[in-house]
Amino acid sequence: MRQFFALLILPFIFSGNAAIAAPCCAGASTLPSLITGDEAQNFSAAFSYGTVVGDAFGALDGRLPELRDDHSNHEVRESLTLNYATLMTDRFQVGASVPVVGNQITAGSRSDSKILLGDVSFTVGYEALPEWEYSVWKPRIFTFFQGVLPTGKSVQVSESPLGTDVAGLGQWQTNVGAAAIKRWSVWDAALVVKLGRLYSQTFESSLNGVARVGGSWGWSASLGGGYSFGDFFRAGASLEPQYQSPQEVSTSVTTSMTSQKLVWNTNLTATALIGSDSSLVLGYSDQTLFGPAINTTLARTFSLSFQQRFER
Amino acid sequence: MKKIGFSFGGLSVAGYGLLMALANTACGMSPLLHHADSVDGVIPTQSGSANDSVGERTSACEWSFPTVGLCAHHVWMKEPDRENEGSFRLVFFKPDQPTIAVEPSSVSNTASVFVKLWMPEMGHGSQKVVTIPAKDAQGANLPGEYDATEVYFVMGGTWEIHIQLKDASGNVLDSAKINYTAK
Repeated sequence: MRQFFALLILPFIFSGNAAIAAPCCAGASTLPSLITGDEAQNFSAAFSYGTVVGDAFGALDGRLPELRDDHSNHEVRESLTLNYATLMTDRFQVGASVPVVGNQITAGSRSDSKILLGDVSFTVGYEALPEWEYSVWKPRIFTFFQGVLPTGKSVQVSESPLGTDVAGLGQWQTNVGAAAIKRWSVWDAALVVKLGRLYSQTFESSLNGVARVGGSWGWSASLGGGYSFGDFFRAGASLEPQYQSPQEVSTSVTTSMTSQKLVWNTNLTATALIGSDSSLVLGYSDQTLFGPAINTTLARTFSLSFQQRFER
Repeated sequence: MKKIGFSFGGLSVAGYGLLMALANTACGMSPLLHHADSVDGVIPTQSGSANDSVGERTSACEWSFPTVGLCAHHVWMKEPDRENEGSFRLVFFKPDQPTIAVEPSSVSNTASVFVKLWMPEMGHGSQKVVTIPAKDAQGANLPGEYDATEVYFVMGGTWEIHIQLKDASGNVLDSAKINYTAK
């Protein structure tokens, strides 16, 4: 049982880091730093490398998503995310996630790269429905509250013409959600839903002047499953739509409503236990396979995550 | 393969060569994406369309400033693309005399002309546009004409080109906008 959950929870950790949002787009991941296994604490470090391969335009634009054919333009996103979670009681837990984001953008003769702190988040989780004894149908259910701090630089205060210094939304954000996990022999399934609120914020920069960005709602969900090969390997897949409602943006020049944002992440993972308390996850996330996609860049991202668990 | 300018812990150098190559494969099959250069009729193949006025100088009142009683139109000197900055000549005129350039300061308290690029659906701008009075071959100012330079759209999509007429205190006397589709 312990090995199974060690295999199963890692894709959750991975998933939150794999889909790096565009500098101008929603970036909330569905899954926060959360313990869903039997350990007392866990720590993970996840590195991801993603390339923007296309653009999806706003709802009013009328154009279908486009592939970036021009190979003189490159937009690379890397991230290193450190996650930590610990049980406070048998069922309560707290966690935190600290991402460091690297952007490298080349547009013809222009090129720039920067590494910055992203949006730091913290999580309070509660195991609402434990699995004290096996049930054919009853899943384990975790509920969580997530707060996201505006530590990442927003596009509204970007000083870089190419936007390489954008590392987050730069707005306070709170999310509530639940994760349901179930396994049947070597098969498993997981459903995670999250509802979030992005709070209004006023920004000031030399490039954009003063801009007030209004609040908005968002949601994301992840439905996935996996198959375990013995006690040490697991392959999994999940589909993860993310939505953000329009925001009012006011500057000295204009007041406008942004388009809604929608992107679908397709996540594939391969997990291996490399000891009794450690695991590696190799993952691939693709935002070009399912749609519709609205008002976002579209990326393909590879990720490698290491997790260390500390038993009770 | 493109060289990566930075890495985390050496991973992008030692272990990520293959991953980088795969992630960079923009020609991978996708049911969602269309090629920007496709001619299937779905994706507009004309880039850089600002209303109907791109290219030849016209007398169309692209930007209307009713408070100061002026219009403006523009002529691209160099149209921007995803790689390069562009620039355009901005010409102010009275609606009933479209062929005669009029300096905004001669009919109002305008002290400066300000150009801003704005992407409404994304809710952000682009790099700062430098706007200076246009000059003739001898270096003399051309009244009523301004050159907007360093025009660069950070991403493709529908943008707005805003023009504001400001007084000496920075107050906006009048403003107008047009739409522009950046490829």
